[in-house]
Amino acid sequence: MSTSTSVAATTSAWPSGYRAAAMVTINFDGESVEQREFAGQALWGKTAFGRYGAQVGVFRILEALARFDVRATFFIPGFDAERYPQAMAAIADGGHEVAGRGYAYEDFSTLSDVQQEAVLERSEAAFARVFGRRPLGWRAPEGVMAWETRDLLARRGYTYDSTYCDDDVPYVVRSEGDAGEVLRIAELPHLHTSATDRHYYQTWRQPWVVAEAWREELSATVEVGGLFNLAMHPRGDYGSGRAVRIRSVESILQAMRETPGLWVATGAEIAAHALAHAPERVPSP
Amino acid sequence: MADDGVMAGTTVRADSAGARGRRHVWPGGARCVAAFTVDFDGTGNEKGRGIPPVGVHSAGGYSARAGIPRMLSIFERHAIPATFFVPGYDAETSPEMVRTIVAGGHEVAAHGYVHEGFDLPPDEEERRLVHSHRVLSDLTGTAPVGWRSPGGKKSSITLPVLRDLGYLYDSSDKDYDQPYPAVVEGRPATGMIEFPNATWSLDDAPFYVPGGATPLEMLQLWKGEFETIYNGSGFFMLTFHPRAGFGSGIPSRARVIERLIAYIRSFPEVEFVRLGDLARWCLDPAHGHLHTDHAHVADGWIGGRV
Repeated sequence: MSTSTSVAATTSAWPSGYRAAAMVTINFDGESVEQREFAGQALWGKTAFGRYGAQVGVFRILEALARFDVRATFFIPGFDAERYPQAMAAIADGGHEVAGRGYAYEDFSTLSDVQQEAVLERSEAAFARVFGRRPLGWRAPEGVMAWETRDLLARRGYTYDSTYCDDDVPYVVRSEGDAGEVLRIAELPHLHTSATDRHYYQTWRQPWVVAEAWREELSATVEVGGLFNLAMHPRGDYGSGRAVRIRSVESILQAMRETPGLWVATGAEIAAHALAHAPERVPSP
Repeated sequence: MADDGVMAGTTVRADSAGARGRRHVWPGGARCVAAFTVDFDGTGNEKGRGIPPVGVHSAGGYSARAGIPRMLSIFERHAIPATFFVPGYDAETSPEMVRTIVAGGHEVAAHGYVHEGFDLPPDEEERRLVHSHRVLSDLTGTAPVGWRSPGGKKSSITLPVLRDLGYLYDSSDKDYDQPYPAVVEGRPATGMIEFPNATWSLDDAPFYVPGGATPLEMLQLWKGEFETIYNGSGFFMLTFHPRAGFGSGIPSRARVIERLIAYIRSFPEVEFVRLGDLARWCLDPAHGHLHTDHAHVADGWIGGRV
């Protein structure tokens, strides 16, 4: 296994003419987040931040994406997809990719493989009803999953996961299907504590500080030829959906636009390229 | 601020050297030593906590794949010898990476087996210390001489066991600004040095997670730490983690290391050291770090009472 690939430039990792890649992702994380914690209760007061994202924040983010002509990848819990038809229509109309994130924001580390499959099936059914298509990508709610989750995704035809944080560039993992056939799925690594709004806002950073941190993250990632995999949330608490924070979103989209040789693509596009070109990795024990 | 500690330390050292107000002397006649230490902290951390290293918990996998190679390349570019504290489990699962660290001229020291907090029965603690010691010895061809507590804790048997294994230093305590004789079985040792590591300020982990520091905030703090230490005790020891999550191996945070190196290099008379080399130097009684009449050690103010 090569260990030097991610040290410096991995120029062969990207389509010709590009030296680095970026994907803008939105973890939709609407009411399903609070539903998980306060099951069965009316969600008002301080339990309504997810609803803010679904009713207000997501539209602001969509406007910013449109202004900069960026197609993003939305990871959407099935529950929220069914709950917020207007938001879903706006996402679909914007030409963005929609990808999986559980149904009711489940903790996948506590589910058996049978239970995990049932949740995936339920969220795929919701996507079929709402969007008329299956998700190709997936990101675990809270980033928490089980050993077998990625294999289950591969069996169900997903082309990528974007939850791990163990490399700078996409890689491919192999698993085995029911009939012993080889299955391959791409991992599009995501850095949960720096390429995100959530960690910074949860630690009370100001919007302009976050914008500066994101630009630094982008330029350092581009310098090593990596994947800048930014995650934002529309939520009103730790998300980017408030007007003052949209300026930070615009700031990073502007910086991306001004970065020469940056391939800005959706998760599915980057996964397709990775499946054809990226190295295979054995999961760390 | 650590001003009181710096002042006290300066006075004591100056007294013991017989020349009040004299600056500290370090190897090579340097005014300040800089010890860059890297706690490997691969997937063994999660193993020790019973968490599969998957999804958001895969940050330890970043160490061997990307974080350590990146740090090694930075250290090579700037000719900096460093000290890597490696848990036994990570050495077993990433043997090539450990050999690469050694080939780069760096020191490999011990850091538990699966980054355990050392709330273990004494027999089990000793078994793991000895096992990890053998893993590192076999892999590197050299017995490690240094140890750092993975969770920041020690027990009454930790240092005696390490002493019997031939260790020359521990780097776990938080109670002083400069090296002092490790306290083993209640007495200041003559063969073991303590290198205090200030994990609330000279360590990346607490600032990045849970602190949420941005790379530029981190750089600003460490520049301040270096400048004040340079003008104080002259013992600057920094702890990095190569993992994702709370570590410094990712591109944006590795830049902080490079920029800090440039800042440190702008000061005269700074010597970058490996801790094993510094321990041997400190253990030479002529260099003044073993004074058992050192007020704070004698009074039990530092080093703890066991």
